[in-house]
Amino acid sequence: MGSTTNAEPAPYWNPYAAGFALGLVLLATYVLFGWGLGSSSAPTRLAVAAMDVVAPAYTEAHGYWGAYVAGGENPLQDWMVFEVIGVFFGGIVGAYSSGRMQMSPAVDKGPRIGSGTRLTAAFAGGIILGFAARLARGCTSGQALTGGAVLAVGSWAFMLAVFAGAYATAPFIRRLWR
Amino acid sequence: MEPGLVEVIHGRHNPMIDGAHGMHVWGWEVPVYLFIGGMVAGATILLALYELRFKEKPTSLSAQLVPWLLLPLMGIGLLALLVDLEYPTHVYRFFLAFQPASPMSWGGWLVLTVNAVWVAMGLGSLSATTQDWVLARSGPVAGVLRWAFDMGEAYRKPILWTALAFGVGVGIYTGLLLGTLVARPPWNTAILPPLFLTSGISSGAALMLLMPLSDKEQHTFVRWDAAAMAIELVLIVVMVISFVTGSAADQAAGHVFLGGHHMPAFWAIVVGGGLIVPLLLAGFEIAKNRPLTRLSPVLVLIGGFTLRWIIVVAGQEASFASLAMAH
Repeated sequence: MGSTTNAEPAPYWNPYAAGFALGLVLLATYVLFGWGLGSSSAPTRLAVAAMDVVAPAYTEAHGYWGAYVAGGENPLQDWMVFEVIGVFFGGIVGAYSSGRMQMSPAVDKGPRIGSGTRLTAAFAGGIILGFAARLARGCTSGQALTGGAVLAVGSWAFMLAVFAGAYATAPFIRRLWR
Repeated sequence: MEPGLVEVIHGRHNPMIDGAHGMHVWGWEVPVYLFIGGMVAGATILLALYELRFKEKPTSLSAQLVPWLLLPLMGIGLLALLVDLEYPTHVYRFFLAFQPASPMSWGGWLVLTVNAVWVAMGLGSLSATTQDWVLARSGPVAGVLRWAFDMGEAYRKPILWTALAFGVGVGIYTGLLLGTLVARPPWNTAILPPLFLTSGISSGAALMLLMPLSDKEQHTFVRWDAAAMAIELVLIVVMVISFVTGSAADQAAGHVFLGGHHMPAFWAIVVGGGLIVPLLLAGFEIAKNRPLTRLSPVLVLIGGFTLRWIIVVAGQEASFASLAMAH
């Protein structure tokens, strides 16, 4: 197989062209579905659905999570869940068509740290991001991209806070990649 | 009666069958059986076609062993069906009669006799080297096995044509079985049998593409899989159009796929993930010569299973009784 196939990756897109295309995707989702792009509420809904299977009474009575299952509603029956599934499918097509798809157990990490440190840091970062996204009612996709596109003041404040937070913490984190 | 009020009276109140919430008799067992049945039928069709088309046996050991794999796979499907039965021990009664007008009777006999076809197909699929390996380890039954291998070789062509016919039969009967049930509008369409057949063919190809195959087998099955998926996509569009432009019952059935609560999963997982994405990947594999990714067959299998799950569940949710109540 290896001798007859072309595994040479295609060059990356121009970032401005990719940004413009992403803006068109955002426009299309508003026109077709009435919703913008987002992502962080999908794992939240997945977690609530799992909780609803394990402990339905607790989930329904919970002040925050209970709203997702109120009236017997299925928390997974939501635009954001299917949008994220679509992002996954789109990612597969994009990676495969450009020759960048790799099914490898190798962990992408900086040269000075082990895989365990990298995975622990990623897991901790994911928890902080997930918690913060719920507090802010959106992540960089839902707030910065979608809210920013419709000039929501809160979203622009969020975006400035994200950049401020990133510049403040990057000196401590970047050593993981050097 | 006050103007504007419509009173709906019907005399049937069978629990789990009639009423506003529809019938919920079949659980996970039936979709699992329909999926496995379609997949093994598809693999049978593709293997028979491969040999008839290229006039040579598959060279990879995996493809040679597929007919033998189909036996236990179908066994798992039939086990699911047996679990669904209220009286599993009464299943033998199916095989005391044959009703030519009953798709279920046809299906019962087909899924029984197709096992013999797989054995005959499997005997002739093995290469001479594999046959010798088996004979060297078969002790006192080596003579009988030698005879069986020779028979499998001597009647190869009629066996392959029989396998092709049985594969089509098993693949199509599941859709026919549901399609003839007039009282369940989402099932009552002539598109369902060819839809289940083509979905079964793409699932059968996906099953084999997860195995280590030769270059020729892999390239052939990727192309045939793509053709089956393209036809399946057209059939789905035609089915939805025929529903939304049909009678009130048809339109209620169409609501399952356009606007109902099954719509997101149907279009995202069955059509998007199970057909369009694998079709695009197959297109890139062919046009850009990209190495095959096993993610594509996995998506096809998930899509094929979800299709049957949604069709079975949606059909049970819809009935003329619930349609009348909705009005």
